[in-house]
Amino acid sequence: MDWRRDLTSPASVWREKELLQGKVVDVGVAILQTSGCRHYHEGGCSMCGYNVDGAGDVKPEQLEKQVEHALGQFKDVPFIKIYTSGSFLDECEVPSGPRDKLLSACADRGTRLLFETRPEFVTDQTLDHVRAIHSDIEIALGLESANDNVLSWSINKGFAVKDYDEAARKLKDKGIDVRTYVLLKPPFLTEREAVEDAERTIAHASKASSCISLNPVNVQKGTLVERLWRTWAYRPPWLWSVLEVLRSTKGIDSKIVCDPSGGGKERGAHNCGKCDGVVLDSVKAFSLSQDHSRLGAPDCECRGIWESVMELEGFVMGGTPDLQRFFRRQRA
Amino acid sequence: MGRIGVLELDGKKHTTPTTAFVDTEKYPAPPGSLTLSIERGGEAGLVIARSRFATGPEAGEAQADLRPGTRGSPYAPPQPAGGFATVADIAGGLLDSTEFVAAIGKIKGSEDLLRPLYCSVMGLPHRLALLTYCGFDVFDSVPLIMAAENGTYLTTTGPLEHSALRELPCSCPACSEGVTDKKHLLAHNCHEAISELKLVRHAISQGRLRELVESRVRSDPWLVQDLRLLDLEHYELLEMHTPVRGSPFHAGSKESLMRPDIVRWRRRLEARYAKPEGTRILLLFPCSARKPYSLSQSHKRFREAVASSGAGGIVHEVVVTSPLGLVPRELELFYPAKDYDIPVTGHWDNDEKKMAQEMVTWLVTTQRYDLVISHLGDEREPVNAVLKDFEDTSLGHPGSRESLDNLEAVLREHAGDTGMGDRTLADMRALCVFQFGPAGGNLCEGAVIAGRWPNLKIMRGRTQLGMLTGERGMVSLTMDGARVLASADAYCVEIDDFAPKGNLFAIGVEKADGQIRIGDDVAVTHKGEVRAAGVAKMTPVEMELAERGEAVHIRHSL
Repeated sequence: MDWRRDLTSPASVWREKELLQGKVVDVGVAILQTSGCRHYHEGGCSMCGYNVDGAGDVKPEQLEKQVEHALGQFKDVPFIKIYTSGSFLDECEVPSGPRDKLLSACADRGTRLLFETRPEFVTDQTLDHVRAIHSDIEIALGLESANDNVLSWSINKGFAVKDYDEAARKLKDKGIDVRTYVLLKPPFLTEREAVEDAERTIAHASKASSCISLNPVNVQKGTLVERLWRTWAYRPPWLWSVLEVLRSTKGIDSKIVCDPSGGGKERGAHNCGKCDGVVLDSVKAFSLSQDHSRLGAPDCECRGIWESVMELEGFVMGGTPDLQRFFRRQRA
Repeated sequence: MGRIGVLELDGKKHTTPTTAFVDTEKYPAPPGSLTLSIERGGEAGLVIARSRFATGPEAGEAQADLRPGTRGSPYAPPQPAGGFATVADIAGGLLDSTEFVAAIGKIKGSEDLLRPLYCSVMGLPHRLALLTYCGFDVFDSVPLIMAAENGTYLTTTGPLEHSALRELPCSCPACSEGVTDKKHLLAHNCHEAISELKLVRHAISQGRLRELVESRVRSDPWLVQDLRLLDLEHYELLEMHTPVRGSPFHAGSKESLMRPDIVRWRRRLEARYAKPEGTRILLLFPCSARKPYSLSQSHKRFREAVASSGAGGIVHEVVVTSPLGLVPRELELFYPAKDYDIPVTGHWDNDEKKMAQEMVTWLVTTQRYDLVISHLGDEREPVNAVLKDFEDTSLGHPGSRESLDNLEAVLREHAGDTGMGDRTLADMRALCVFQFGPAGGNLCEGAVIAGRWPNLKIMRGRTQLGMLTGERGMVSLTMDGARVLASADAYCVEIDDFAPKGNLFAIGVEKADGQIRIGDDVAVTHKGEVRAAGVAKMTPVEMELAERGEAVHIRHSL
């Protein structure tokens, strides 16, 4: 790790909007520099490059400083999200000192707190401890896919659907809100398989989640996905697919949010470059309103190509070559 | 490795190489074509299974012809093989010729050689010749559709931008209608692929696929790279699949120099060749357009000069030529010496010069002549540059009266009256060794040659061992000839204990000599006893692996 790196402030801090109990509110977001995700040290997920934020030898005092820094920035918000690029409930990653400090500060202020964890760290003991300090919390679980084949052979997630189910049930039993991450287009899936898998995963997750976040894969540095993408063997999802999945969520009770990282860029969910902005705006408007009629974009020439890809990719033998990239004239 | 095959599906036969057409609501397959559908049960044509990542029931994978499985995920256990062989990483192969060629080498160098080889996404019309040459049997229509969706008009010389075409350079039904929408574009693209495959199949049936490939690769650097890398890195594989006898061809490109049959000629000279016994004077001649050279006007004159010098018995005539390098006179009937045609400008390029120099150097250093005479034309300078102690008789104009007189005088001077004598047996022995390796020489032990060139019989007493014909350019074996080879354990196909008649099927083959090539005369043996003699119809690897198909066409049997 870089000795010059300052481990006393978060990797990143920003504000965003989110719909909370029918109102759009300001949310403070901080990404802490922790030792990184436990699963990263066991091989990691095919699309996750967040472990580059992992700081191997960060000390508990430094993490506490990071928490203080974030709290100082977010005095006036009703909702704080703390991301760790791993599991907030893994004591190896976030020791009890900084953890409890954050929880009690939020409890004092009456601020809702969201953090992420892998299901293996969701234990009755930890939950009771956390809830005893602060009760207005939301815990995000990365289910990614409700298909065990996808979890193990595409994502290398390291747990099965039943592990998520069990964790989600525990959280629900303790009255803790569950937010579930659903991945759109992990590697080795065709565009159509990816859309169908995300739709099915959302339906599964909705049983236990108050909120579902649809996360289109973006190509992160140092990942298997990046290696595939570089050899034209992977294409991030089309924004048309994002729309397709979001449209299918009509009738689902959970709140559905989607903020595609790198949206509109080559490494993120993208279309042809002409219609990307309009589609992304509509996705944002939907996330803040839950109004399905906000989803959509005027028809674009590239929609026909996306439809062909949806129709044809399943016929391809020999990986998932980026059909558009091999056959289009180069993007301006 | 290009091959014609028959794909039998649900009682319907399809001749390969062929394209399988995606059959969906949006893209219905052309009527009568081989269709490709994703597992739904009960459909005709090729069936592709859903992947292991598809949601819903996982039925039918075992019945499918093609199984995407986990699409090469490194996290998944290896997949059971399906009916077809496939390339594991299409994208990598299309981006990187080295990777593509390695994949071909891997598939064709394994038992997958016998399975039909499926080609997804790559099969654009201008690539079909090369891909077939690489050994693909079935292509899909995915690239034809994707091209149409992206406004690309496909031709056999490469893709064109549809919107830029002021007139359509094609008269297929779709182009003749004068409508330029996507539907017509797709119909044209499909038509182009179908008609190119007809041409490819025709070229295979004529033994001329390589020429079509050399002409088609010109429009696309990826294709040129693939062909050159195949030639350079997989010569052994290509050579094994190249018949020893083929059709006349035009060697018109840089890649022609690396044709497997041409490289084999040069390598076989170096590996097997020995000059006819008794020859002491090497006489280098230029090639002629007419083949065999002996029948050309220029060579007739050369030979008259040699004959009247009285040195014919000790003179070894060798033709310097591109792309074969050297053709000793006694091998001039042997494929491809009488079957190639090259563009002649009078200027030799550096590759040709270097090759001729290397071959001539090899000849004079290994065969040891008393005298080397250079009687050359356009190739005179580069060849003379590598010769030491030689006589140049051509003065740059090998056909002129003066040069011919000069040649005759030099020969007369060096040979004196030692030069008469019958060379036919020595020449035949050199040919037999070139064809069969050292064991071939045994055919000529104690033999005499009967008949009139180019049709010559090898006789031992009253027994005929083999015969050279002008038409085949190589020696055909009798049962007795086959016994001679069998006793040296060369060019033998070992079979189970039965007596083959008519033809020998691969199922009956136990073992085949690795030197055997398609078109070679072979001995069919069982525990040392020759049961038949015939012509190989498969590579030795295929003979041993395959369970069906004709391995040897039997000409003589017990």
